[in-house]
Amino acid sequence: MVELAVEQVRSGEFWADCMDQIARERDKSSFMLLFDYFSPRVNAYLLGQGAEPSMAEDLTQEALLALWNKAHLYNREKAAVSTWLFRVARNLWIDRLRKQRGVAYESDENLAETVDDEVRLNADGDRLRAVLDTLPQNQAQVVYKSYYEGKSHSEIAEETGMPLGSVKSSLRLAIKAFRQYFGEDGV
Amino acid sequence: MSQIEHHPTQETLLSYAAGSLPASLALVVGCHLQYCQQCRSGVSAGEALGAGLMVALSPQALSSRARESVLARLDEQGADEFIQEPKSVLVSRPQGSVPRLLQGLLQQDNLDALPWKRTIAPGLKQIVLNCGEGDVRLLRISAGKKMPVHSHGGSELTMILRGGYSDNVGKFNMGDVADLESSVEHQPMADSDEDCICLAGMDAPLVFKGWLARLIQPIVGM
Repeated sequence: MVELAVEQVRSGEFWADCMDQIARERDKSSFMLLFDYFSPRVNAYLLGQGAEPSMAEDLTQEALLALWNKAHLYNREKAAVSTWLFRVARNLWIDRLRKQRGVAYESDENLAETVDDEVRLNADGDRLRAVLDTLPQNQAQVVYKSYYEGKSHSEIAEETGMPLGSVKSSLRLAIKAFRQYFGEDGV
Repeated sequence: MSQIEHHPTQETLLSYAAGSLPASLALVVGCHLQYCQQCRSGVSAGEALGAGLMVALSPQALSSRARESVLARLDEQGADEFIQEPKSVLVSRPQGSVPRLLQGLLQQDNLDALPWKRTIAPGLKQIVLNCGEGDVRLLRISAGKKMPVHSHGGSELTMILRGGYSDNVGKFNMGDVADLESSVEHQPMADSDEDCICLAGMDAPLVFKGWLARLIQPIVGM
């Protein structure tokens, strides 16, 4: 098989169609498209959260298999495939790495039902990354530490020397900036 | 039943979505979400942002063995797995009951049956819960009583489970969450008609010491 040097850019609609194919026909080729695109990214996310490489690989497989096993619960009106997968991956690392936090999240079984409104982020990863790059350094840093390192506001304050209030206001400003770029529904 | 008027801040919802709040604070957010559609939407927007950021990461490929093993596992699942309908889990408002996630922690849905302990503050009882990360407790302020004046060293989230209280920030009713800046000093006073029961989550123990010291200080000084 020839490896493509440049990955084809797929739309959210494309991935939602793949999920429909899986739900309706148990279509393995649709699943493998999802797997090949998302698994290296879920893996990168879990490594960033501090998972050992072998555990990150295990959890990534589990997260992707959840797409296969729960495809019938997926509702494209309620969330992008990437958002659904993010929740599953986050909940897996909470279950495995930060067990205590499990008390604070509903189980994945309820995921499909927990949001009433459609919330869409009209942004692909590259555009988001570009916006992140335009933010003032302290705002980018608090977003980065919150999402990629799983740090709480107090932990960020401790690590950066920023006062707790500044950590919170920086996050608030970053949210505002993302909203401006991607619309009210975006963030 | 009144509307929910006080919510966790946007940055709190974002951190919940990111999975980066300590369990004590995340529990309070999770309980509030059960009753608040607006904040559920806020969290799902935070999750959409998280998804975008996850997709933007430099890909770290799995081993080729992992790919084969996943492919091999696709046929393993029993057909019955696919018949299950998702449970509908959302209820509109608390009816004096305990939020689902808190019930899970308490193994109990009756707040009056809990072993309330007196504190040194008159009219204030509490139960310290163990959630393994940060400090979380149930507070019961007797009807019409005032809490001592205090501020919060770190982050604190408080959700009203029963009754209500007023302070300089506003009036808080069942389902409301107080997500105060650490600099805010306040002195909640419970409504006069019934005890006010709150779920309060605080940051790591180190921060809590400061909070406790501040709480005790005015009492000791009395």
